Amino acid sequence: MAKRELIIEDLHVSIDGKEIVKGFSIEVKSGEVHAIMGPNGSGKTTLASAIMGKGGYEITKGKITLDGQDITHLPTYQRARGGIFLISQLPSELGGVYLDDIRRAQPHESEYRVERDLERELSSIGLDKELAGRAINVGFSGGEKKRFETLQLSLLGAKLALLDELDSGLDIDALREVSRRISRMVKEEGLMVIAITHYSRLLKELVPDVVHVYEKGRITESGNFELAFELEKTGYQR
Amino acid sequence: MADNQLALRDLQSAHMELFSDIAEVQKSDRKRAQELLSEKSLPTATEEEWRYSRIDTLLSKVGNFEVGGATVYDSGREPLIDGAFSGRILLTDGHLWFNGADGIRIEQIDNSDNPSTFAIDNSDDYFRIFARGYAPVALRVTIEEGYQLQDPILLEVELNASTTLVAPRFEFIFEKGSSASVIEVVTGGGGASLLTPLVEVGVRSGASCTYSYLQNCDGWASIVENVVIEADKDSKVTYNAFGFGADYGRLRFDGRIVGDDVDMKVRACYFGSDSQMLDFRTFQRHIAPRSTSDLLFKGAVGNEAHSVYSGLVVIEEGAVKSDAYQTNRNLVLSPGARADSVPNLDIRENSVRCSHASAVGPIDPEMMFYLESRGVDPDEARRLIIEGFFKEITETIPNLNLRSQIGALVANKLKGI
Ligand SMILES: Nc1ncnc2c1ncn2[C@@H]1O[C@H](COP(=O)(O)OP(=O)(O)OP(=O)(O)O)[C@@H](O)[C@H]1O
Ligand SMILES: [Mg+2]
Repeated sequence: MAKRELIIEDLHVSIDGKEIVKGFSIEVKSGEVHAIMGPNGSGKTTLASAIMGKGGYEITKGKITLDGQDITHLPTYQRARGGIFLISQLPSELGGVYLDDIRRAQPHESEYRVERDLERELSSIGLDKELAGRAINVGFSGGEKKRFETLQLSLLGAKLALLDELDSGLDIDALREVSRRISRMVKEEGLMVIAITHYSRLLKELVPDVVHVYEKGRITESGNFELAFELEKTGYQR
Repeated sequence: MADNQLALRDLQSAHMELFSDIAEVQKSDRKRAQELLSEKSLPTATEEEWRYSRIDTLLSKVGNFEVGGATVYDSGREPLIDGAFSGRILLTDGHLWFNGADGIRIEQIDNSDNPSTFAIDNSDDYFRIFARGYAPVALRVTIEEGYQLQDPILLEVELNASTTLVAPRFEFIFEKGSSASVIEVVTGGGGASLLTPLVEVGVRSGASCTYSYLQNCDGWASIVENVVIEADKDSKVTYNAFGFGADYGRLRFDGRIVGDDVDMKVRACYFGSDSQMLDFRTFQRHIAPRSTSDLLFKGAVGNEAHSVYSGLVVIEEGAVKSDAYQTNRNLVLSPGARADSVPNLDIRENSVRCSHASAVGPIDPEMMFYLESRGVDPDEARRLIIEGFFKEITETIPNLNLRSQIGALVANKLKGI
């Protein structure tokens, strides 16, 4: 098996011809959690969308490699099947489409999938069974959506989780339950995590190995866990 | 209610050849309709109402007006929907066959002893009056007072003969406190056929009516169906329409709330492909107070298909505390396809709650991205989203056999798009 790692080199991303991500590089190894913190509008969501291969997010330069495979120009569903899992800042609602539909549409085998028991996952993530049987995210509260997305992460498995403000909308208990579930995947299965956030409270649960400061489309500073607390005190205009 | 659970193969049928009776039944009621029709000008495509109607083709068929056909009467045919029925009415090319369990009375109307229940005037749809004037057969199905029928009544209209125009006409009367469901299936088309069915439904005090209409005609047929539902005090009505077939398929729905505290739900799913034109006109007319009408129409068009939804909510003076909702949503699945949506309100009373909404657009790219980012391939994602779009309605169909048939029709449409 190839070494599990994500390498992004000098990534540039444009939307409608406007460059938003301007030379982003990162290396994430198996079992590592990287936090990305940066001001509103700096391009964090754009970065996550581009890594997932979303339409309209044009990668004009640079390269994304997952476990040695160049995925820079793969279609989204193949990236997903390759093990990238995105939890969006604002997860979509899908009327009439169910978790079971997604599960049935999965390819039969994958190197990272672990068979898991739905009931057990529901209780560890703190989600009501009734909710998991409803149309995806339809009529869910903000926090329920994030829990439901985390449930899918644990059921479908992944090599790399991109968490775009997972903490928004979550109450204190939910934040803890969801983070702990993800941390367990990090420890037990070597899940790699890129967690975009504005607050250290997520990082207290999800203890990052590296904290990156991201401004105007690139990383401007990297440090350890302490950097997150420092940023929270001082802000980005230090 | 075990007595009502008739399996179809056990039905002992009454077979009636009614064509020979046409002259006999042209009595006052029919005459009046014919007179009204002669005063009414033929619909033309210059009228807004018939703008997309392919009316020229339709009327050339009326020109060749010929009631009935000559296919073999087939009493042994399997029903188009599986399951047990309280009653069954089969009309093929003018040949009629029917049967009903206890609590259902089926009789021929439209003669001087047995006039129609519903009045007409010249503001009515051309083809409603047409059916009233020229329907070779007119049947009344009465669900008798207080009867609660467990199994649905199946009404099948099938057209096989060529160059035939059929204007079948039915009345359903839900007497006080009765409860039943009707499934109407219209199929076939034969050669260059035009079907103009008329269904008039009276739901009396405290009665409960669930009516489902499935139009799955052949690809070259034209159909103009009129349904009028009159809901009386404390009654409950659910009308579901499913439009899949025909070259030109039109449904005009007239919901009239004539008693207080009525609960009326109107739902439709339609899916056009190739060069189909699916055309829906709805009226939610509140005449009496404190009633609710809630309409939701959802459609999809692919290839070069075109759909039209045009609806009007009318709250008449005196219909205080009415709640009326009207929503139409459309998915346009290819660049050559088109959907028009025109919801309208006409409110002549204060203290009412009304809303209307409409949407026309492609599949939401955010939904596609969501499913693809969960490893679902794009074709499958599209299929799930379109099927999901209809599920909001199809999942509420009480009859599971009908539900699965509609599911199969949606899946079949998706294959060609
Ligand atoms: N579809 C789009 N079309 C045009 N501009 C866009 C589009 N999406 C994002 N942008 C712009 O790109 C910039 C970066 O947006 P992005 O959402 O990536 O920021 P962010 O760092 O995630 O911000 P926040 O912290 O508020 O979530 C913003 O100026 C935004 O307006
Ligand atoms: Mg963002």
